[in-house]
Amino acid sequence: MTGPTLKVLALFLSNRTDEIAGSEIAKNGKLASGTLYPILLRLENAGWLTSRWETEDPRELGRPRRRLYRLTGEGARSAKAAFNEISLGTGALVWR
Amino acid sequence: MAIIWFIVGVIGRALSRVLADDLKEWTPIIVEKLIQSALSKLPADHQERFAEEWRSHVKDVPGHIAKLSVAVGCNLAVLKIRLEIAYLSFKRKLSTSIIYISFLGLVMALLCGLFVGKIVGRTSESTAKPPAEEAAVMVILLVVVVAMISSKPVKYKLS
Repeated sequence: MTGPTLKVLALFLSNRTDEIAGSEIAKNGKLASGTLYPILLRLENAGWLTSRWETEDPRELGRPRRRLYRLTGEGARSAKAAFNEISLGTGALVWR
Repeated sequence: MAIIWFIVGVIGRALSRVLADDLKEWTPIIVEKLIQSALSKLPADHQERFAEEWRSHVKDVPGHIAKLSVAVGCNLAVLKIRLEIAYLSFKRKLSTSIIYISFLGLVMALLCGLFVGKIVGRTSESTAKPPAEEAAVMVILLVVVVAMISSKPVKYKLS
């Protein structure tokens, strides 16, 4: 698993209940769009993330709809396991 | 010499202002062109989703340079997304092929089993009918088990 993927997962683990838009993830994780979107698609295809369009009307918002991502139960378990596995080797933070 | 530097400075400042104004004017057009270029390289069933998602991302980002950077990034993302989609499609096709091949194998084995059963039944005495049927059933069961194991859907995993 790559560093940017871990960054994305760490963001989701810290906001377990929140739905996060791609632009927010890019901003908070300091990730370029070229790196972020393939990761999001990959995590979604693996069943770690789910996504949906925001429900507000784009005409009222004055901008296109955001795609909101959320960590699934399986994703949370797998992400925690991945972080724990890394921590065994490095002694870094363990997610519980 | 100082006068020359002064003139160069004034011209440079005027030019940079003109360039900055131009960039402001042109940014939305360039960004849109870049996003359209990225979308055109995506498979049709993914275009609609990313069109809206990327345009909203660009809107969320403040500053012209940042907007351009996001749009350029989308073009880079397309390469990885296409690889991802191709990989998934290959896995699905592989899984489907395994199921079809297993089914074909099952049918072939069923026919072979029946054929073998018939030959054994014909060559044996009339009392030997049960072993012939048993042989056929055993072959069929074996193939069913093999087919079930080999046709197990391939799960997409993160490495």
